Amino acid sequence: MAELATGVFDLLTLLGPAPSGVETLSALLARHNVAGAAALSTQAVFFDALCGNAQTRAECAGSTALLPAAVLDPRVLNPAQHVAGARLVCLFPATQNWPLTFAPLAGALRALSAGVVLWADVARLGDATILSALLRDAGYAGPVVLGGVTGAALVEALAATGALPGPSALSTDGMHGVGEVGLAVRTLGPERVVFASRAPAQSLGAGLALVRQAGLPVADEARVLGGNARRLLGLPL
Amino acid sequence: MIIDVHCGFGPTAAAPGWGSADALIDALDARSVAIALIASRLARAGELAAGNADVADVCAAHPQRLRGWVVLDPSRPVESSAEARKYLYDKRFVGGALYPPPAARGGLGVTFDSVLELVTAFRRYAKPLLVHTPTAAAMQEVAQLARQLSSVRFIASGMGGNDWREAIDLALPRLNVYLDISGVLVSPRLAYMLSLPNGARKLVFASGAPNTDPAALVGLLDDLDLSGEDRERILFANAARLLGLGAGDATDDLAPAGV
Repeated sequence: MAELATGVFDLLTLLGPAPSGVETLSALLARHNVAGAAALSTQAVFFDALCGNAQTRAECAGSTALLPAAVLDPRVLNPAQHVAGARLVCLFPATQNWPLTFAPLAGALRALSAGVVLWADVARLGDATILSALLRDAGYAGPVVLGGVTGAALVEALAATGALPGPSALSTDGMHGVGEVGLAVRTLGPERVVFASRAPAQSLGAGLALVRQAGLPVADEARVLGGNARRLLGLPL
Repeated sequence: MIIDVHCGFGPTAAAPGWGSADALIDALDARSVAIALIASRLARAGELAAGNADVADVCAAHPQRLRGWVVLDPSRPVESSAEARKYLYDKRFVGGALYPPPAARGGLGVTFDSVLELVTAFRRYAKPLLVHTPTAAAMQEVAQLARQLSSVRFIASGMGGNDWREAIDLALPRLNVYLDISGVLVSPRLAYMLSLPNGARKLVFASGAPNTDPAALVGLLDDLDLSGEDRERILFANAARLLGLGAGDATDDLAPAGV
């Protein structure tokens, strides 16, 4: 995956629903000079994680620019098995309508490999707080990225990252307010904010513009736009 | 050049300077926004008089860069009428703005029935009315008002949120309804609007800042293959014509000029 080694990297993009797929996403990434992205199938989010994660792997197999991510859905039996082999595992509690205080989730988190990057949508107020406590209890020491946050949820997530047991970061999807990317960088440091767009469901152009508007030093902007994601995912820098 | 038709005025945790005129001007400069039309976030939260007065002061201090929307509250018609009389003959203010009240405060939502009397009286000012339309249901109310009061120009702010397709279909037949592009950051809603007859002429740039950074909306436009002409229309030309903010061909307006 040579193309993933340099340039902008988008931590979270989506494949689907049909007819939108690899070609649509790849064209969108190329339009905005995004060199690589982690992608997951909307089928995994909205229908079935097992089928959807398999679809993600199949669709990304033919691409040199896409890294397959996986959805961890604790509502199914043996959820950790559905994400085996994935470097990036994603939680969507609010979108999938389950509470974080959910017994199967704790077991799933304990079963995760420490080398996995765990990304979680914590847009719902309270989720960042609960998740950080769950991860401490589960002894999960791998990298954690909290995403989907703006406004009050961003304030909560900034506080919650301090309570996480392992390396942590925030992703920029969701940070659409004036000054939010800058606030995250000032609070956590430029090495702990990661660009993510959720394209094509959300505008890739808007996501990139928000980071570039933050007025970061060139080196810090490069970290946010790609370096941090590649370091977290163990990709070549 | 950009005219941002709908900005909030008032600080947030991430943008503490958004309640300071000088900091706001600096932020607008950094985003190539030449003129911003601002509505008080304090007034939206219920403090009508104080909030609208704040906006009046900052617009007076920066008349070339800032103009105001007078925030009106359908739950408080007497106070709203007083605010309208106080400010809408003043060139610092471009028109009135209607928002649903904060859930915690209660009060009347913006519906045809709740605001008809207020908007009927509003016609005397011959100025546009901006209405927050975060859903298709909200747009339905605006469409109904627009049909009833054809001399009033409405700017529907938010394009119906996630219900954008239905909202656009409701708004487009009404010649006196314009749509600002604030709302969810998804480019297909703009693509859909632009695919419709005269769609590009009915869009005006707005961010809803500070909740959404104006830079995000400019980035949203970068997702699309816009002609230079359409991009200019959206970024400033339509607003300049609609609101009398600069050179524009008044005969090009789609809506009747008033009764």
